[in-house]
Amino acid sequence: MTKLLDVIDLRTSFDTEHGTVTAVDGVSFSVAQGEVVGIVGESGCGKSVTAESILQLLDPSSTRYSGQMNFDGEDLLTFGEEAMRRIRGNRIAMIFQDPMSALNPVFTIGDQLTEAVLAHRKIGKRSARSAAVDLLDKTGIPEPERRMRQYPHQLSGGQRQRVMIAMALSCDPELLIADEPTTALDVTTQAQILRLLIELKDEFNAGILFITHDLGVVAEICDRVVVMYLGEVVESTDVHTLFDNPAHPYTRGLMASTPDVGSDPSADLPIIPGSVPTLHNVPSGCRFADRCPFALPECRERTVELEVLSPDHTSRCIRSQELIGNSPVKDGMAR
Amino acid sequence: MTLEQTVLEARNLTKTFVTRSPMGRTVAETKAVDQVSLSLTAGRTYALVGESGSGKSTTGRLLQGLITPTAGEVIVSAADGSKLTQNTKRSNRDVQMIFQDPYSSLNPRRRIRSILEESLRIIGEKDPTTLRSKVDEALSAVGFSDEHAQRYPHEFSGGQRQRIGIARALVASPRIIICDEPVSALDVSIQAQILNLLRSLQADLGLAYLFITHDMSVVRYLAHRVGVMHQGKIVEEADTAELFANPQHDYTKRLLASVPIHHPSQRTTAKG
Ligand SMILES: Nc1ncnc2c1ncn2[C@@H]1O[C@H](COP(=O)(O)OP(=O)(O)OP(=O)(O)O)[C@@H](O)[C@H]1O
Ligand SMILES: Nc1ncnc2c1ncn2[C@@H]1O[C@H](COP(=O)(O)OP(=O)(O)OP(=O)(O)O)[C@@H](O)[C@H]1O
Ligand code: SF4
Ligand SMILES: [Mg+2]
Ligand SMILES: [Mg+2]
Repeated sequence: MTKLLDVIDLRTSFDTEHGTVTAVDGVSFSVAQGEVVGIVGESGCGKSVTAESILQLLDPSSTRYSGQMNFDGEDLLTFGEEAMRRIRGNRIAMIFQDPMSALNPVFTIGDQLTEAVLAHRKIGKRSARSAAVDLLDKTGIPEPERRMRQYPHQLSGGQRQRVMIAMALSCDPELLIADEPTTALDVTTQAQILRLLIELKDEFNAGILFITHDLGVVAEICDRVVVMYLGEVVESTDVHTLFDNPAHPYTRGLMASTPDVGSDPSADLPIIPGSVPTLHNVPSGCRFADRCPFALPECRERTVELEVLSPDHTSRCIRSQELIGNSPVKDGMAR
Repeated sequence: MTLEQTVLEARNLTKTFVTRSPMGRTVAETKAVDQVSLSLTAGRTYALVGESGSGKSTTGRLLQGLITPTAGEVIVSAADGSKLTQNTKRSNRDVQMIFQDPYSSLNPRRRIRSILEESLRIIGEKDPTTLRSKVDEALSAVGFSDEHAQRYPHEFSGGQRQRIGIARALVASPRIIICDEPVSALDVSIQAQILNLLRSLQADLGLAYLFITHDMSVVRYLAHRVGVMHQGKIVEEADTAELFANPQHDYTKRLLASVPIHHPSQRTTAKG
């Protein structure tokens, strides 16, 4: 498979009133054509900032990027704003975590979607409009014709999310970045959206970068998975290995805290104790040590590097070798 | 606080949205909520489930008093036992809302502390020491510190903003909280923390929740009673255990049948 996107040592920092913070700290991963790569991790780990960095969508006055982001052989970080504009919503499309930020409140859904179709296909306005209705219909929104005449605030949360998905798909992108695209949707609608994304991948050999906190969705759609914690990649491997042999204690914690319909409803849900530290307090040594049930004194003493466990499996933990292969479920998690 | 006491009652709530053309002509009417009746009980959670667009958020906003019903009424029993009809847009300290969309509900130009203090000022709290301590308490309940309080909403991630929304609802010590998909944007670990928190607050303070969600595992964990919405109507209502054991409506059966998978080998959408 050819590498479509190759992110190498990406660093994204923000200047804030309280000093500079680095939200993405030396992240590397790649997405091949026809491949779905998941980024998972708790809230605040840097998933959205990673995604927005690829398209350089963050406020230019306070954001600094470094590293390389090779897309189809060219480093996006060397592109000017003009060149990036031609890439966005064209060769690379993004589904945003926040639908309202991507939709213009003063135009109807129909205007916005038709516009998006017209920007990429050499067709007349009428055919563009019917292509737009088609796209809406594919996302499972009832009465697509009527939705075309409505404004974003007149739609429900899940309907807005689907409009945005239709918008991103309107350009048949080579790379689709989907940031929590199905969070507001029930499982049935979610399944429909996932099928739609897989269609895109199969039909156009597109690559998909899929950001989610939902491991069920990861199991459903991803080929490979990148696990992030506090701005760093802590584990990266193919989806089967991730579920069968997670090496990093953080990954194992994420799996153990997934609720399921079979668990005892009167017991508290298992959680990873503590919370993600703020970017102003990045621990030295292993960043996960304060929350890790396997932590040893030496974990805090030096920076922990990503270790290659097998050709397609890396983990940032000094105990990866002993942990891999042990059952991940429920170990050491607080109840 | 007496438990099992009805704190909010909705009677035959109906909301019809009228869409007008730029010339003011009525072009469409949507009956988003159709004759909905339900009651919320102190110390209990009523879950509202139903497919996207079925009218859940609109029902929540009607109960909170953010929008006025086309027909029907919402009656809130105050702490002193007096009843008042929620038919104005006036804010009611007893009923707070956690919004589905955390982004648009936070003022981008205010620091987190000021956003939370505002919630308290609206209900008449002026004492700076009380303001400070109540805000600190609400923030720590959702896992944030004073350092977070100094920052602006755009400096937070999606899930972090959702927690700010939760803190904002908690800070005013309401008796009823309308939670519109409060945890769908959160990762499992924080989701679990928030759900555990909501449950322990309920046990301690006797809060009544209306909990809008599409996640049946969350329903099972938190809800005492469940209402299933379909095209604006509540088509089925039952105690949680009963609903899981014996679902009646087709949509309920479908919801319960579509359990998320736990391993890539269970894939339904595509080959590996
Ligand atoms: N403009 C900004 N200025 C300062 N800090 C920021 C800014 N944007 C994001 N951050 C911080 O960067 C970190 C990563 O945020 P990001 O939005 O990438 O998280 P995420 O992994 O997408 O989380 P979620 O699942 O909650 O959406 C967070 O700690 C956040 O507070
Ligand atoms: N301001 C409005 N004007 C016109 N129609 C509206 C308005 N607000 C909501 N609607 C319509 O009312 C219906 C119910 O919307 P609501 O937001 O209550 O759904 P929901 O059950 O919360 O869905 P979701 O799970 O997608 O959030 C939808 O068809 C929506 O398009
Ligand atoms: S390096 Fe140590 S603290 Fe960090 S994840 Fe591994 S065992 Fe835990
Ligand atoms: Mg995010
Ligand atoms: Mg809603």
